[in-house]
Amino acid sequence: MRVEEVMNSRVEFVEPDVPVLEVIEKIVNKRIRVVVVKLKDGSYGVITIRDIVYRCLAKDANPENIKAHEIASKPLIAVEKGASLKEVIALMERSKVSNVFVKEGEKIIGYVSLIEVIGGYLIGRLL
Amino acid sequence: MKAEERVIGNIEAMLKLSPIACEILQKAVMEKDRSILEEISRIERDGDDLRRETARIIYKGAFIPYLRSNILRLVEDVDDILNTVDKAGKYCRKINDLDFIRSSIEVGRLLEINVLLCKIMSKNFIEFFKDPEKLKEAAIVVRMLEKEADNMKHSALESLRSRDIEFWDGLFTFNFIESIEEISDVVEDTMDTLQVIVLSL
Repeated sequence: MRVEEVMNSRVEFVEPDVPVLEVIEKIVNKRIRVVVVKLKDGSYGVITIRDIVYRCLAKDANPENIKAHEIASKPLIAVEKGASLKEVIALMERSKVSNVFVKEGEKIIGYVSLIEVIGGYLIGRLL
Repeated sequence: MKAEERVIGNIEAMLKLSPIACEILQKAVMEKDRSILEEISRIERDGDDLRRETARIIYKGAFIPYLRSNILRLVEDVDDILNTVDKAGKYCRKINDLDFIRSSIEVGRLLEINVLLCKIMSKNFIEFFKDPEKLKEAAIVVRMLEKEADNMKHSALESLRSRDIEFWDGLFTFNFIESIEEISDVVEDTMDTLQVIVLSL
Protein backbone atom coordinates (compact mmCIF):
# COMPACT_ATOMS: atom_id res chain seq x y z
CA MET A 1 0.00 0.00 0.00
CA ARG A 2 1.31 3.45 -0.96
CA VAL A 3 1.56 6.21 1.59
CA GLU A 4 -0.70 8.60 -0.34
CA GLU A 5 -3.55 6.09 0.01
CA VAL A 6 -3.54 6.26 3.79
CA MET A 7 -2.18 9.74 4.54
CA ASN A 8 -4.13 12.43 6.31
CA SER A 9 -4.27 15.34 3.88
CA ARG A 10 -5.40 17.94 6.39
CA VAL A 11 -2.07 19.64 7.03
CA GLU A 12 -2.31 22.83 9.04
CA PHE A 13 0.47 25.43 8.87
CA VAL A 14 1.34 28.17 11.34
CA GLU A 15 3.80 31.07 11.23
CA PRO A 16 6.89 30.75 13.49
CA ASP A 17 6.01 33.65 15.76
CA VAL A 18 2.45 32.71 16.69
CA PRO A 19 1.96 31.91 20.39
CA VAL A 20 1.64 28.26 21.39
CA LEU A 21 -1.85 29.08 22.69
CA GLU A 22 -2.89 29.76 19.10
CA VAL A 23 -1.45 26.38 18.07
CA ILE A 24 -3.47 24.71 20.85
CA GLU A 25 -6.60 26.51 19.60
CA LYS A 26 -5.96 25.25 16.06
CA ILE A 27 -5.40 21.69 17.25
CA VAL A 28 -8.64 21.71 19.27
CA ASN A 29 -10.81 23.46 16.65
CA LYS A 30 -9.57 21.38 13.73
CA ARG A 31 -9.42 18.11 15.71
CA ILE A 32 -5.86 17.41 14.59
CA ARG A 33 -2.76 16.23 16.43
CA VAL A 34 0.05 17.88 14.52
CA VAL A 35 0.82 21.32 13.07
CA VAL A 36 3.59 22.37 10.67
CA VAL A 37 5.56 25.53 11.45
CA LYS A 38 6.87 27.55 8.48
CA LEU A 39 10.29 28.65 9.69
CA LYS A 40 11.97 31.88 8.61
CA ASP A 41 14.81 30.11 6.78
CA GLY A 42 12.28 28.42 4.48
CA SER A 43 12.41 25.05 6.22
CA TYR A 44 9.66 23.47 8.29
CA GLY A 45 9.25 22.38 11.90
CA VAL A 46 6.60 20.22 13.52
CA ILE A 47 4.55 20.67 16.67
CA THR A 48 2.71 17.68 18.10
CA ILE A 49 0.50 17.64 21.18
CA ARG A 50 3.43 15.90 22.91
CA ASP A 51 5.70 18.90 22.19
CA ILE A 52 3.12 21.25 23.67
CA VAL A 53 2.87 19.23 26.87
CA TYR A 54 6.57 18.43 27.39
CA ARG A 55 8.25 21.54 25.98
CA CYS A 56 5.81 24.14 27.23
CA LEU A 57 3.26 23.07 29.85
CA ALA A 58 5.58 20.73 31.77
CA LYS A 59 8.04 23.63 32.20
CA ASP A 60 5.32 25.84 33.65
CA ALA A 61 5.70 28.18 30.69
CA ASN A 62 2.75 30.33 29.69
CA PRO A 63 1.61 29.15 26.19
CA GLU A 64 0.69 32.75 25.43
CA ASN A 65 4.32 33.86 25.76
CA ILE A 66 6.05 30.97 24.01
CA LYS A 67 6.37 31.13 20.19
CA ALA A 68 5.63 28.18 17.94
CA HIS A 69 9.22 27.95 16.58
CA GLU A 70 10.59 27.62 20.14
CA ILE A 71 8.93 24.25 20.71
CA ALA A 72 8.89 22.92 17.12
CA SER A 73 10.85 19.77 16.29
CA LYS A 74 13.27 20.02 13.37
CA PRO A 75 13.86 18.83 10.74
CA LEU A 76 10.54 17.68 9.35
CA ILE A 77 10.79 14.03 8.30
CA ALA A 78 9.15 13.45 4.93
CA VAL A 79 8.78 10.93 2.11
CA GLU A 80 7.59 11.22 -1.48
CA LYS A 81 3.91 10.36 -2.05
CA GLY A 82 4.78 7.16 -3.93
CA ALA A 83 6.63 5.64 -0.94
CA SER A 84 5.28 2.42 0.50
CA LEU A 85 3.80 2.03 3.96
CA LYS A 86 6.69 -0.32 4.78
CA GLU A 87 9.24 2.41 3.99
CA VAL A 88 7.35 4.82 6.24
CA ILE A 89 7.31 2.36 9.14
CA ALA A 90 11.08 1.84 8.73
CA LEU A 91 11.65 5.61 8.64
CA MET A 92 9.54 6.12 11.78
CA GLU A 93 11.55 3.48 13.59
CA ARG A 94 14.89 4.81 12.39
CA SER A 95 14.14 8.46 13.10
CA LYS A 96 12.16 7.74 16.29
CA VAL A 97 9.22 9.89 15.17
CA SER A 98 5.52 9.13 15.11
CA ASN A 99 4.61 11.48 12.24
CA VAL A 100 6.05 11.32 8.74
CA PHE A 101 5.06 13.96 6.20
CA VAL A 102 4.25 13.28 2.57
CA LYS A 103 5.70 15.48 -0.17
CA GLU A 104 4.87 16.04 -3.81
CA GLY A 105 8.04 17.71 -5.04
CA GLU A 106 8.67 20.39 -2.44
CA LYS A 107 5.01 20.72 -1.40
CA ILE A 108 3.77 19.01 1.77
CA ILE A 109 0.50 17.30 0.89
CA GLY A 110 -0.22 15.18 3.96
CA TYR A 111 1.12 13.25 6.87
CA VAL A 112 1.01 9.76 8.27
CA SER A 113 0.94 9.12 11.99
CA LEU A 114 1.00 5.78 13.81
CA ILE A 115 -2.79 5.49 13.70
CA GLU A 116 -2.82 5.93 9.89
CA VAL A 117 -0.19 3.18 9.67
CA ILE A 118 -2.41 0.82 11.67
CA GLY A 119 -5.48 1.81 9.62
CA GLY A 120 -3.60 1.36 6.34
CA TYR A 121 -2.34 -2.05 7.41
CA LEU A 122 -5.83 -3.29 8.35
CA ILE A 123 -7.48 -1.82 5.25
CA GLY A 124 -4.82 -3.51 3.12
CA ARG A 125 -5.82 -6.87 4.62
CA LEU A 126 -9.52 -6.29 3.92
CA LEU A 127 -9.38 -5.00 0.35
CA MET B 1 -31.49 -22.68 -3.03
CA LYS B 2 -32.38 -22.56 0.67
CA ALA B 3 -34.36 -19.55 1.94
CA GLU B 4 -31.48 -18.55 4.25
CA GLU B 5 -29.02 -18.57 1.35
CA ARG B 6 -31.38 -16.38 -0.68
CA VAL B 7 -31.57 -13.87 2.19
CA ILE B 8 -27.77 -13.73 2.59
CA GLY B 9 -27.38 -13.49 -1.20
CA ASN B 10 -29.84 -10.57 -1.34
CA ILE B 11 -28.09 -8.71 1.48
CA GLU B 12 -24.78 -9.19 -0.31
CA ALA B 13 -26.34 -7.90 -3.52
CA MET B 14 -27.60 -4.82 -1.64
CA LEU B 15 -24.16 -4.27 -0.14
CA LYS B 16 -22.55 -4.53 -3.58
CA LEU B 17 -24.73 -1.64 -4.74
CA SER B 18 -23.39 0.65 -1.99
CA PRO B 19 -19.81 1.30 -3.26
CA ILE B 20 -21.22 1.86 -6.76
CA ALA B 21 -23.60 4.51 -5.41
CA CYS B 22 -20.82 6.14 -3.34
CA GLU B 23 -18.47 6.23 -6.33
CA ILE B 24 -21.14 7.91 -8.46
CA LEU B 25 -21.65 10.54 -5.76
CA GLN B 26 -17.89 11.10 -5.57
CA LYS B 27 -17.63 11.41 -9.36
CA ALA B 28 -20.61 13.78 -9.55
CA VAL B 29 -18.99 16.14 -7.05
CA MET B 30 -15.42 15.94 -8.29
CA GLU B 31 -16.27 16.17 -11.98
CA LYS B 32 -19.19 18.57 -11.47
CA ASP B 33 -21.43 16.18 -13.37
CA ARG B 34 -24.77 16.11 -11.60
CA SER B 35 -26.49 14.35 -14.49
CA ILE B 36 -25.20 11.02 -13.15
CA LEU B 37 -26.88 11.49 -9.76
CA GLU B 38 -30.13 10.07 -11.15
CA GLU B 39 -28.32 6.72 -11.27
CA ILE B 40 -28.03 6.76 -7.45
CA SER B 41 -31.84 7.03 -7.15
CA ARG B 42 -32.16 4.06 -9.51
CA ILE B 43 -29.72 2.07 -7.36
CA GLU B 44 -31.68 3.06 -4.25
CA ARG B 45 -34.89 1.74 -5.85
CA ASP B 46 -33.11 -1.53 -6.72
CA GLY B 47 -32.10 -1.71 -3.06
CA ASP B 48 -35.74 -1.19 -2.01
CA ASP B 49 -36.85 -4.07 -4.25
CA LEU B 50 -34.23 -6.33 -2.71
CA ARG B 51 -35.24 -5.23 0.81
CA ARG B 52 -38.91 -6.01 0.15
CA GLU B 53 -38.11 -9.39 -1.38
CA THR B 54 -35.75 -10.28 1.47
CA ALA B 55 -38.32 -9.28 4.11
CA ARG B 56 -40.88 -11.52 2.35
CA ILE B 57 -38.52 -14.51 2.47
CA ILE B 58 -37.84 -13.88 6.16
CA TYR B 59 -41.59 -13.61 6.97
CA LYS B 60 -42.15 -16.87 5.13
CA GLY B 61 -39.86 -18.55 7.65
CA ALA B 62 -36.20 -18.16 6.75
CA PHE B 63 -33.94 -18.47 9.80
CA ILE B 64 -34.99 -19.58 13.25
CA PRO B 65 -37.40 -17.14 14.97
CA TYR B 66 -34.92 -15.64 17.44
CA LEU B 67 -32.57 -14.59 14.60
CA ARG B 68 -35.23 -13.12 12.34
CA SER B 69 -35.52 -9.68 13.94
CA ASN B 70 -31.76 -9.09 13.77
CA ILE B 71 -31.55 -10.33 10.17
CA LEU B 72 -34.37 -7.99 9.24
CA ARG B 73 -32.61 -5.17 11.04
CA LEU B 74 -29.46 -5.89 9.03
CA VAL B 75 -31.46 -5.69 5.80
CA GLU B 76 -32.89 -2.34 6.91
CA ASP B 77 -29.46 -1.02 7.94
CA VAL B 78 -28.02 -1.89 4.53
CA ASP B 79 -31.02 -0.30 2.84
CA ASP B 80 -30.38 2.77 4.98
CA ILE B 81 -26.86 3.08 3.53
CA LEU B 82 -28.38 3.35 0.04
CA ASN B 83 -31.09 5.76 1.25
CA THR B 84 -28.48 8.02 2.83
CA VAL B 85 -26.32 8.11 -0.31
CA ASP B 86 -29.48 8.98 -2.27
CA LYS B 87 -30.34 11.73 0.23
CA ALA B 88 -26.82 13.19 -0.15
CA GLY B 89 -27.23 13.06 -3.94
CA LYS B 90 -30.50 14.99 -3.68
CA TYR B 91 -28.90 17.73 -1.59
CA CYS B 92 -26.01 17.86 -4.07
CA ARG B 93 -28.48 18.53 -6.89
CA LYS B 94 -29.85 21.55 -5.00
CA ILE B 95 -26.49 23.27 -4.48
CA ASN B 96 -25.95 26.00 -7.08
CA ASP B 97 -22.29 26.63 -6.40
CA LEU B 98 -20.33 23.38 -6.05
CA ASP B 99 -16.98 25.17 -5.66
CA PHE B 100 -16.89 24.91 -1.86
CA ILE B 101 -17.49 21.17 -1.69
CA ARG B 102 -15.23 20.50 -4.67
CA SER B 103 -12.31 22.38 -3.17
CA SER B 104 -12.74 21.12 0.39
CA ILE B 105 -10.10 18.51 1.32
CA GLU B 106 -12.44 17.32 4.07
CA VAL B 107 -15.40 16.71 1.75
CA GLY B 108 -13.09 14.90 -0.69
CA ARG B 109 -11.84 12.65 2.09
CA LEU B 110 -15.40 12.03 3.38
CA LEU B 111 -16.46 10.85 -0.07
CA GLU B 112 -13.35 8.64 -0.23
CA ILE B 113 -14.02 7.17 3.23
CA ASN B 114 -17.57 6.23 2.21
CA VAL B 115 -16.34 4.36 -0.88
CA LEU B 116 -13.74 2.58 1.24
CA LEU B 117 -16.22 1.59 3.96
CA CYS B 118 -18.75 0.24 1.47
CA LYS B 119 -16.04 -1.70 -0.38
CA ILE B 120 -14.86 -3.29 2.88
CA MET B 121 -18.43 -4.32 3.76
CA SER B 122 -19.39 -5.65 0.34
CA LYS B 123 -16.14 -7.45 -0.40
CA ASN B 124 -15.94 -9.31 2.91
CA PHE B 125 -19.62 -9.83 3.79
CA ILE B 126 -19.77 -13.58 3.15
CA GLU B 127 -16.32 -14.06 4.66
CA PHE B 128 -17.49 -12.37 7.89
CA PHE B 129 -19.83 -15.28 8.61
CA LYS B 130 -17.03 -17.82 8.20
CA ASP B 131 -14.23 -15.89 9.89
CA PRO B 132 -15.19 -13.89 13.02
CA GLU B 133 -11.57 -12.65 13.33
CA LYS B 134 -11.91 -10.89 9.98
CA LEU B 135 -15.16 -9.37 11.18
CA LYS B 136 -13.39 -8.08 14.28
CA GLU B 137 -10.63 -6.50 12.14
CA ALA B 138 -13.21 -4.90 9.87
CA ALA B 139 -15.14 -3.56 12.87
CA ILE B 140 -11.96 -1.81 14.09
CA VAL B 141 -11.36 -0.28 10.65
CA VAL B 142 -15.00 0.85 10.38
CA ARG B 143 -14.81 2.50 13.80
CA MET B 144 -11.51 4.23 12.92
CA LEU B 145 -12.84 5.52 9.61
CA GLU B 146 -16.12 6.63 11.17
CA LYS B 147 -14.21 8.67 13.74
CA GLU B 148 -12.11 10.20 10.97
CA ALA B 149 -15.30 11.01 9.02
CA ASP B 150 -16.71 12.72 12.09
CA ASN B 151 -13.58 14.88 12.40
CA MET B 152 -13.72 15.71 8.68
CA LYS B 153 -17.35 16.81 8.96
CA HIS B 154 -16.58 18.98 11.95
CA SER B 155 -13.71 20.68 10.13
CA ALA B 156 -15.65 21.07 6.86
CA LEU B 157 -18.55 22.74 8.70
CA GLU B 158 -16.10 25.08 10.46
CA SER B 159 -14.79 26.20 7.06
CA LEU B 160 -18.32 26.54 5.71
CA ARG B 161 -19.29 28.79 8.59
CA SER B 162 -16.51 31.25 7.79
CA ARG B 163 -17.52 31.52 4.14
CA ASP B 164 -19.70 34.21 2.65
CA ILE B 165 -22.39 32.13 1.00
CA GLU B 166 -26.00 32.57 -0.16
CA PHE B 167 -28.50 31.26 2.47
CA TRP B 168 -30.06 28.37 0.52
CA ASP B 169 -26.73 27.26 -0.92
CA GLY B 170 -25.31 27.31 2.60
CA LEU B 171 -28.20 25.25 3.92
CA PHE B 172 -28.00 22.63 1.19
CA THR B 173 -24.22 22.45 1.47
CA PHE B 174 -24.59 21.97 5.23
CA ASN B 175 -27.16 19.21 4.70
CA PHE B 176 -24.97 17.59 2.05
CA ILE B 177 -21.96 17.45 4.39
CA GLU B 178 -24.15 16.12 7.23
CA SER B 179 -25.51 13.34 5.00
CA ILE B 180 -22.17 12.21 3.58
CA GLU B 181 -20.94 11.87 7.16
CA GLU B 182 -24.14 10.03 8.08
CA ILE B 183 -23.24 7.33 5.52
CA SER B 184 -20.28 6.30 7.70
CA ASP B 185 -22.57 6.26 10.77
CA VAL B 186 -25.00 3.93 9.03
CA VAL B 187 -22.17 1.63 7.91
CA GLU B 188 -21.04 1.49 11.54
CA ASP B 189 -24.61 0.58 12.63
CA THR B 190 -24.66 -2.13 9.96
CA MET B 191 -21.39 -3.51 11.27
CA ASP B 192 -22.76 -3.55 14.85
CA THR B 193 -25.87 -5.46 13.75
CA LEU B 194 -23.73 -7.88 11.77
CA GLN B 195 -21.54 -8.55 14.80
CA VAL B 196 -24.62 -9.34 16.92
CA ILE B 197 -25.85 -11.79 14.27
CA VAL B 198 -22.50 -13.55 13.88
CA LEU B 199 -22.25 -13.79 17.66
CA SER B 200 -25.70 -15.40 17.85
CA LEU B 201 -24.98 -17.98 15.16
